[in-house]
Amino acid sequence: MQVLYFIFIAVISVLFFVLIKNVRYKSYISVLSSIGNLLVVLKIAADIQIYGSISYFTGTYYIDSLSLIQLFIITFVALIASIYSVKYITAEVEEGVISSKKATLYFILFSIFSISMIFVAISNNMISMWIWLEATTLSTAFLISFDGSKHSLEAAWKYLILCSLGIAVGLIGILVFIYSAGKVESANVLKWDYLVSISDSLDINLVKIAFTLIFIGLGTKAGLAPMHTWLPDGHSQAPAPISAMMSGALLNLAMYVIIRFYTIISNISALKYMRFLFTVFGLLSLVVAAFSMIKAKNIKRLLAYSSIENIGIISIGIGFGFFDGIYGSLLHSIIHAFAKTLLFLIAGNIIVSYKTKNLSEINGMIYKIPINSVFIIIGMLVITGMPPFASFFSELKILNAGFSSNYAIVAIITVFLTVVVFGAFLSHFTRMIFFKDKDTLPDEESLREKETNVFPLMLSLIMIVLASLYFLPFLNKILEKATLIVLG
Amino acid sequence: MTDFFLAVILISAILMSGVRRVKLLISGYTVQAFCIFAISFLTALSTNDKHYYVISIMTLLAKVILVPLILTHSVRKIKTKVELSPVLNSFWSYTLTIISIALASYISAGSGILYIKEAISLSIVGALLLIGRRKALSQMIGFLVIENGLMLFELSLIKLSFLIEFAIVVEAIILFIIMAIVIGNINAAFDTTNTDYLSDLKE
Amino acid sequence: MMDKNIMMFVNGFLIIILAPLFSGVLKKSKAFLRGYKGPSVFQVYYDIGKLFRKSFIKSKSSSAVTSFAPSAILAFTVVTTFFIPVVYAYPKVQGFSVFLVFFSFTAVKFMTALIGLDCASTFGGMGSSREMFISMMSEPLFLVLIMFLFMETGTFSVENMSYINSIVINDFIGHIIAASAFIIFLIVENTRVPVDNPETHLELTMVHEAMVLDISSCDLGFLELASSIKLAVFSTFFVNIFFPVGIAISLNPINIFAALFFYFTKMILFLFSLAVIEISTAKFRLFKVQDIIMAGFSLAVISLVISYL
Repeated sequence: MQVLYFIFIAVISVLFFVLIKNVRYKSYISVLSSIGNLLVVLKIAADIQIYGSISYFTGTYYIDSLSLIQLFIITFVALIASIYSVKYITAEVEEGVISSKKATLYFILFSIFSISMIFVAISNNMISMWIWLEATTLSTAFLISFDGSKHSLEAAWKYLILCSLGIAVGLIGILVFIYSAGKVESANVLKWDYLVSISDSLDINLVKIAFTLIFIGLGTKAGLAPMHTWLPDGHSQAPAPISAMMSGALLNLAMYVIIRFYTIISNISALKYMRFLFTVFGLLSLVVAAFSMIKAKNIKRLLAYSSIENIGIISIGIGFGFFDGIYGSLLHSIIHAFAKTLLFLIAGNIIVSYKTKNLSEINGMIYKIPINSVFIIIGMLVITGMPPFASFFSELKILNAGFSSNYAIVAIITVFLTVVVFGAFLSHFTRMIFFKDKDTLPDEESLREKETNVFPLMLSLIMIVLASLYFLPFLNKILEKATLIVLG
Repeated sequence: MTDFFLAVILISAILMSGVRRVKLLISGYTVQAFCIFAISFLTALSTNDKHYYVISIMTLLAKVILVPLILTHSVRKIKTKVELSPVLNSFWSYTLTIISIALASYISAGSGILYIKEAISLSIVGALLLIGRRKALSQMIGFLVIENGLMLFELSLIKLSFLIEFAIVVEAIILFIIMAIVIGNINAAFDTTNTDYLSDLKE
Repeated sequence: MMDKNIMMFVNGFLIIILAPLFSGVLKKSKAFLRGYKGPSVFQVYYDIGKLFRKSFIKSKSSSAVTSFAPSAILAFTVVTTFFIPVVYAYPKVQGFSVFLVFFSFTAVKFMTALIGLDCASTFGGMGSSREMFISMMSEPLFLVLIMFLFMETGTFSVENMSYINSIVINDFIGHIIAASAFIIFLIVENTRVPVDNPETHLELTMVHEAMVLDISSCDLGFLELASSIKLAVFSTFFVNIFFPVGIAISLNPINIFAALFFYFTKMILFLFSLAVIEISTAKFRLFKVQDIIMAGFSLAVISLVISYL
């Protein structure tokens, strides 16, 4: 039943977007629909506490703890992003930067984007998961080129070509996977739970090829190096709330799909070397991202590279295996989502205040936008893994698993690279926040008013704190169950 | 009979990998789409399964009529006729096609999937078009050829349910329309669709 | 055995006599497609006859090559006509190898190039160099096609190939791809439009015509006849080895007449489609001919690879 609620909310909100003319009311409707989605997800969570897992429509939709984590991330991030869009889009329409028709398009695409992501998380059918993932590519293509400048068009074209190609390769992998299940004629062959139960009777060679294709194809969408080249451009040219949603929710979702395929084959003993794919690509992403962050010149590109780095850490965690590694990866994906949302929204505020994205031109933040600078310091500490926040514990668990496995060298390199990342962040941010360059200071009065887009930042901070209390039963139980699902 | 259409698909794919005029690329794509329609129609006739009929009619409408129509309209609007200096010139395109199809035939020799050699060949030719060209329109046609190869691969596997195949074809069409719109925007902003100008974002 | 050898002569004479008719059919189809009435199909006979009645001129700066080469060219061409099955094919295991056909035509090309160089005019040298350039690239194409035909039928003998292909075609996909590669080879070898325009005498566009500019009367008649026969031989090769539908495999007179009828139909259809190809493309500049030949080469190699790897 809950599935129909999602569709109902989406259809009603799109209808309102088309009918209502005032941009501010449209943004309120978008917020309301996000809240509606959130309430449905909370109800689903309550059901799962009772039943363990639910499925609808003869198993077409299937929700268990692993998908519940993703649903939480998606709906909360969507809520925060839509609250931010209220001030952001209305300000842009009032200043005449974008027309009101474009604002309508923005909200419609935003709804389609959220609902596609939700449907990816709740699908049981492999092909329907692929279809909704493709729908996210379609809906974000125009959102990236939203401001119509040359750079954003370039980013949108790269994104379209690379992600569509990646997803096409993923489809080939899925088709080979289906073929490897033998000549089963029933429609059950596309479902997770069925495939997990017959995982021993799959043809080993075909599954190897299929999983590698799926990993590389969907890894393009998740931002693993060397398929990451669309990510810095795409996430830096999109408007701030969209970047937040893409970095926070979409990359996690792509990893979730890969992990779902991994759960099918993780029980087959002949394929236990497949998890080295995760480790190798994760390490490569980490290396590429860490060294690119040192040279970054644009604040959103810096944050985009940080997304690549975090996805790399999640991938390495899954590669290490054991209970700690997977638990750490899942926790890390939650905390990364909220921290990255916080950082991207702050970046949006900075760009609105300073009217530039260049790192060298942004200085003296503590003097001009003090509230935002406090938030950005906290955000930086969260994302680089500072103790009381959950990112410290998640990385600790991943490294723990790393040292327990045979490949401790990978864990050592990971530690080294996270230190490099921390150094890059520290150097860029301290220069931005504390140092004051007398020549490039804009006038101080006009900036005070723009400080008011702070409420979504506080919401993100609350979510970060809540996630950091992960050891309390409500989150711990879900994470544990999810880890057990992945371990098989 | 399907063999004849498979041969025509291969011939059109190989010839497409080296031509530089955009109109010839579009005609090659149309020929391939028509052959895929014919193959799916023949499969429908032989298995007498209703959903194959619908898929073939949909392929006919979408890929043989709608997509070339939009492509020719775009070509007229963007005023691009010939790819003057592709990344891979004609000789290397043909050579790489030969090598890749040889490798693909060798690897897929023992497999039981029906049309796998042709599907892989189409995908490889599409990938060569995608990588080896500078104009965004040619890159998009390369992507469409990869989708054609995917569809051929799908036709030869066990049947998926009708709704899913329908959704995949619709998805491909929507993707194509979005790409066409983005190319129109690129042309309006840059006055050319040469993707050499699209390499500004570096650091 | 005797009957089979007589059939060989019949094959040869049929092609020699019908070759100008086929050239006439090609010209008439082109005219018809272009919308004018065009010459009659027997015009080429009259042209050759007219050339035999003209008087002979030989330049002082040309050597003995110009005297004997045209006759030698006609001799080589006539010899190849005996190898190709027209109406009758039988499994003659030690028949004429397809390499004989190939190398005869190479000898023809060689002598034509010598004629072009011999007349000591600039056009001749230019034509020879272009002809050698083109044939340097196109000969590997035919060799790959011979390889494919050998892998398919297991024999090099032309008549055996035709016989085997008329019974069963082993790899249909590869066969059709090889057929399209052969069409490209035919266009390149026989100076058809995308590669060379046979109706023009403009300096920039001649390849074959440039080489024979200096020849007159019966020698020119020999060369015209030789090029018609070459076109007929290639077309018959295509029609009877790639699509040997209806060819007679036994010496029944009914079968032979049916085979003759099928042969005419196939040839006319083929020549008509050749005319369609000719009028719908313009002549390519010389360095673009490389692209066409490379396309044909890809097709040939891929036909080999798809079927036999």
